[in-house]
Amino acid sequence: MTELPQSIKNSPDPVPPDSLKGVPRQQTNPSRWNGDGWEAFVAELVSQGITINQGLANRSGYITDGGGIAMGLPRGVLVARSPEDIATTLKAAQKYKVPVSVRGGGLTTEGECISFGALQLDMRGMSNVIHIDETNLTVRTEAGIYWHSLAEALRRRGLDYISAPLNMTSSVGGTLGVGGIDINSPKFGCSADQAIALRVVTPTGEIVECSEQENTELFERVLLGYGQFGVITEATLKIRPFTPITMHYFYYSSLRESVEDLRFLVEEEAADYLGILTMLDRAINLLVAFDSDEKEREFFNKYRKRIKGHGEIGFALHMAAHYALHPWRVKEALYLLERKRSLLPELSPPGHMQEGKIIDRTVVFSRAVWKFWGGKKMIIPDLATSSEKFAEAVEKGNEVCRRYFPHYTLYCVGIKLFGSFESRPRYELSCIPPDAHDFGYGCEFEPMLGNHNYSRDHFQSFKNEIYDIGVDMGTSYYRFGGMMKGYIRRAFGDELVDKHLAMKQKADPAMILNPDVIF
Amino acid sequence: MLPGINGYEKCNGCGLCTLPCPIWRQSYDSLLTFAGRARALQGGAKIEEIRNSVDACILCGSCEAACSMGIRTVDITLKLRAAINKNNEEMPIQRYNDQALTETTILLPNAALLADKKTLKLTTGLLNIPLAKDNSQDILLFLLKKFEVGFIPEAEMLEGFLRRLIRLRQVVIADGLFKRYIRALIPELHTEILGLGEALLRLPAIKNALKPTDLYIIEARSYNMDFKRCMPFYTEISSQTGCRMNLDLQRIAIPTGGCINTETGNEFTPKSTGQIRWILEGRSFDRIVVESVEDIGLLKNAVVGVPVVHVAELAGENAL
Ligand SMILES: Cc1cc2nc3c(=O)[nH]c(=O)nc-3n(C[C@H](O)[C@H](O)[C@H](O)COP(=O)(O)OP(=O)(O)OC[C@H]3O[C@@H](n4cnc5c(N)ncnc54)[C@H](O)[C@@H]3O)c2cc1C
Ligand code: SF4
Ligand code: SF4
Repeated sequence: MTELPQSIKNSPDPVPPDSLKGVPRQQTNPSRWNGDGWEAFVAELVSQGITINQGLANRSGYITDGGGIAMGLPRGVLVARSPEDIATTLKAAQKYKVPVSVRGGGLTTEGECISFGALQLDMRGMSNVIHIDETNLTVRTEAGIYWHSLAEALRRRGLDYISAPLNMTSSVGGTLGVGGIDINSPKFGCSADQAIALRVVTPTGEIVECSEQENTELFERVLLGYGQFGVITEATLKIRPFTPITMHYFYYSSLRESVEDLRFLVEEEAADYLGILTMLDRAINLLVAFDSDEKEREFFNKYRKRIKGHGEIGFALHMAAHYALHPWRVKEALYLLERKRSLLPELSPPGHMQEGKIIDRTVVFSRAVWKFWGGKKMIIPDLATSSEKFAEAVEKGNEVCRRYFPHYTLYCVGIKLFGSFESRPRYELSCIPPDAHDFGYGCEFEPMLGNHNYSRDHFQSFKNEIYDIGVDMGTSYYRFGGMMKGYIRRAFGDELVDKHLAMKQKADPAMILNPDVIF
Repeated sequence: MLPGINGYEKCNGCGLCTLPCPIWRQSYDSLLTFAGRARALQGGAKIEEIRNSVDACILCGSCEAACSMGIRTVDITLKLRAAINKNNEEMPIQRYNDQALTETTILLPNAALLADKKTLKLTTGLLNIPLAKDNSQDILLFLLKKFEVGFIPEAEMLEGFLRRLIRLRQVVIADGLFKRYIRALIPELHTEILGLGEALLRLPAIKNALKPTDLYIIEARSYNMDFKRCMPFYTEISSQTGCRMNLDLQRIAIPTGGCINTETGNEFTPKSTGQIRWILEGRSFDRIVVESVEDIGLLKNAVVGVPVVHVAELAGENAL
């Protein structure tokens, strides 16, 4: 058995040994809460007019998250309807020491939003759009709303949100807590950076308005705070006029070249949307898209020649030549052809195109993600790095993928930073890499599981190897928490984690809000 | 696993079907949605525990159009309804007339269309389709009512009825749920099966009368339960005419709730008023065109000063 370092042994939240390097047995679930005080807690809430649903039918919907690996049935569910109800619930939870796990879309993949035997607070009960300010381009909304539903309301007025996960069923509150990366994040940063003001219920049950001007400390802690410092019930977000987008694909047979071109284009701010999607190690797709024809023209005049990617025909010829010289790789060639035949049309479906431009990019990408990568289990470990470390981290992660799975996709994006770690304390202990300046980069490593039955240990070992790259290279993770709790201390160091732990203990004396996510 | 009911176990909880669900939009209670039912059953809940959810569903088909796993959500919900409302199992079926039809095309109306004599006459005239003259209408109306409570007749039971349809070139069906059922039973190769709105929109006089300032209300069941075929057709109509439609961002038709069967609903059944508010919110238009007769009254009540017309009326006063 590997001996734990002293600093970890002595820390108040010791790292689960299962997630340490070289330890073969892997943990997939935090332990289940023992239920002490539950009855009294429920009775107190009932006496205040709050119903906790304890039926199996209700609870079953919350047994797992988007990852489908961590499993935990809550003891009861509260569908949030008002900040007051949440405040009453959190006050009682402090009193009876009942853990409360908050859930929006539930699309975490490491069990962060799951309640392991305690109270599940479902924020989607608060999904109303409160006010759209068409003049100042802001929206005030309840935070349980799905981004897609928000987009539905905005689009009727020719408006759109700025950046959100390419997934229609993530919620505003859940996303502001974890980051939220879109293919326009190189331009607009993460979703959390679109927040102007929040209404938050603190872990001790105070309802507080916060923004960059008011209760700033709370605002900075709740954004990118993994639900540790409060429940977001309302958010004011920046919005923008809706524009259809023009998409171009450039193809690479070298991962490093594609990553270097992505960095180059991100840092030159050469496009409105940028991302890498790999099909095979030697077939990589760089997505470049534009909100305006002017930006598109500028790209072709100024940057196209400076990147190495092929157009579709050029790449087809290149690959044909490659496979002619390597005929024994015919299976790979067929896989690639099939992938291209099935995936690419999905990215430009006729119902979502207008004069060659994509409308509803989130619908298009989200449907494609679920269709091609989705399933009951989704394993998406990721790394978030500075510009300098990105290519190496991606290559190392790709190497791990190759050892574990026959087919996988890497999805790489850039993330613009607005200000430094000093001016934006929200970036500290978050998906934003500690050594990033101006831009951070993220890469998801996503095996295509198909109908294979892999063991949980296989998945966990794979994830650990990816996360270990982060520890070795001193990166961050663009979604972290839950089952990778142990990594956070190792990746960020004792000093920073202890600082946040002290803040958490002060804000949440009974440590009941979203336990086991970070602390 | 529930005997005879399967498909729900494929649900991965992605939630895409929740987004357009009218019950979701009006309650934000996930157990009342199809995904909620599927997850509850996966978790071992008893069918009784999801009764409210099963009965509240308006069978609009939005969840089926959205499902990332291609689950036949409406079939499952109907089977759950049948299992819950066990008294429907012994439903007697009326006798149908088995005589051969001489027409090449027929219209299978629903109760609302039959009751609206003016629109019925206009529709049959425009489509140049006679109404079936025998008693198949009675059978149809009987079936339509029973369908929603979960009674699905075996194909053999309707053999004569289907045998007659199969010989036709085209069947135009006003009820979306019935259209889905018939489509599943009759091979498309021989008989074209269309919704009423779609059949009318194929007439140039009607399509050309649509304007960019129109809001066109598709009958949601007919469209959503035949999504792959209908979505491109209506997208084309919308882009050719410029008219707006009651589609959401996934291109799923937002139901008005006009088809709600009062026999099945419960306190959680979504209200038409809420649906119509959602359809109209933030949209500007100077005429509303509807496919479904039930929607005429609903929309007239909801908007003041804007004409509401049935799609058949677009052909003009002297069409016949
Ligand atoms: C198929 C798939 C695709 C994805 N694509 C992307 C992508 O493109 N970009 C990206 O950034 N991410 C992506 N993700 C990750 C996921 O979408 C994000 O983590 C998402 O933003 C989380 O939002 P959610 O509403 O699902 O949060 P949840 O999973 O519900 O919660 C996330 C965390 O926040 C807490 N929380 C939830 N709501 C609140 C609240 N109101 N107040 C306080 N705390 C709260 C939870 O306790 C949990 O710790 C993807 C995930 C999947 C499964
Ligand atoms: S059929 Fe309509 S009402 Fe019923 S669950 Fe599906 S989307 Fe909701
Ligand atoms: S869309 Fe399909 S797979 Fe996804 S939650 Fe709904 S029923 Fe389940």
